[in-house]
Amino acid sequence: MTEEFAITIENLNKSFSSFDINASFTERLINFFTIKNEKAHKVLCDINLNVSKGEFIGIIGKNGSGKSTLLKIILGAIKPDNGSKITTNGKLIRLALGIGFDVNLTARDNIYLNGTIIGLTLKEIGDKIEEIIEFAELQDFVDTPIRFYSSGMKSKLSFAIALHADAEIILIDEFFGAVGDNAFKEKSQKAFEENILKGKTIVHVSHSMKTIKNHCDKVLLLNRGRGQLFNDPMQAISTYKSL
Amino acid sequence: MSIFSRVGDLYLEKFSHNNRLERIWKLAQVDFRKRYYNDKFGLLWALINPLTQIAIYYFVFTKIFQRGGSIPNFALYLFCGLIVWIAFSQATSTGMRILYTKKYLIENIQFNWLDLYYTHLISISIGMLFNFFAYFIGLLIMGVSIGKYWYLFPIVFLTWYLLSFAITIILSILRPVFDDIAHIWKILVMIGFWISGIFFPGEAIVEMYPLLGFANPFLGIILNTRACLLEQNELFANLLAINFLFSLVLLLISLFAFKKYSQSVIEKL
Repeated sequence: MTEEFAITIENLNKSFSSFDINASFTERLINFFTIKNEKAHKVLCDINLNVSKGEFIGIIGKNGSGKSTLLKIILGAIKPDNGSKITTNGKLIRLALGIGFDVNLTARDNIYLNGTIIGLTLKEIGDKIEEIIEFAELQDFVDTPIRFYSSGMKSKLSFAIALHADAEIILIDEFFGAVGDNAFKEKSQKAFEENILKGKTIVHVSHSMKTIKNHCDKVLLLNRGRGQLFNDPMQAISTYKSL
Repeated sequence: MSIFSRVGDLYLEKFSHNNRLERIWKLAQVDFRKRYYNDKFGLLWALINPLTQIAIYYFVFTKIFQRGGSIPNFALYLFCGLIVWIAFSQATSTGMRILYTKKYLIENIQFNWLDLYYTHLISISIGMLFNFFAYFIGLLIMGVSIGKYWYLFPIVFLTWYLLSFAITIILSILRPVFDDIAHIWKILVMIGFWISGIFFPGEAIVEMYPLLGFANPFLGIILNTRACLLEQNELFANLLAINFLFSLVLLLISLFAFKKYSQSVIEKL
């Protein structure tokens, strides 16, 4: 039986070009259409990666090694260089806490706004809203604008919403996991494993070696834009530490 | 939450079940709320502001400058033109930053980036709707009848929408690459204000400079808005057809440019 891939990356290269800020308006106008005379620097170099459905892949590497750029390319927010081939099979979301939160809106309004952003319909949000409020432990403050919330309350609310993200492939950049006080941390860790990890394909960029060790099936180590894939997370961690 | 927002939510919740539509609506709702009001009386403020404008124009131009002699119902005449012009100016000036302001969406979810422009223009159109509501109150108070071709206004509005959409797309692609475009656009908007017949009859421009009359799509939009909503004259059908075609072609060009350059531009944000 052939293995079903959620993400396939072949010969991925990415160079960023920068404009000369001292260039005149006309020069910049010409550069805009010809993309000439720009200084280019390569941030990702010949990356190959296959992620099977339901797999949990970790991406580690020092700051500036190209981890976040790789996630943005997988999501389609930025374009790789010509010749790179990326195929994704399933709906993607890059999970971050509180995407598009508006502090002047109440928790209820923010749940609806944030819910539509992460792929839920208004009806689905209506069906889940009580569960979200209860999970976030905000029953008494649901109609209060969230500018009056503490940062802990906001984190709880955004985590409770994010648990319901409607996507088959989830990209997680840096920290995403247990938030709030100890009791809530325990509860959120459990919910994270049950809601996010179950049956979904995860690509997780992390500096937390504990997360990498506990959850990852494979690890891609990025070093100066070049990638090395490890099937054993422990081996990836020790190579990373020796860099 | 206002009754207006609630009605939209309830309608979509019951009939749409389409995440894309609902996301566009929610984002437009929040944008509108941020721009026009943010408290319990917000909706009222959105109406009081344009009503006050009409009252001021009436007082200044009819009573002080006595401009009403040459143009009947000058306060309404002026306000009618200003509604479409201000909406266009807001749509393009704030819309050129849309890729910056909505970068958080581009970097986190997969969606059609053109939705950002729909959202933006819906939010601007809701504001325009409030201004038109105030305008109709003004018509009632002053005992003026609406134009006899009022039912053709949707075509004028569609032309306005296509033109605003196209220009907003073009400006938003240029903005991250050329900072100066914001200043250049401000100057062009100022020039546009004086050559679009907002303060004086646009017919004079068409008669004196026919080429300018046809080259400036806003002249036709304003003339036809007044023909539909205030005057009892015939529509400027030729101008309307040319404006519509111009807006459509510009939109196609802007969509092509968006497809070709948007990803490269987003890298530069």
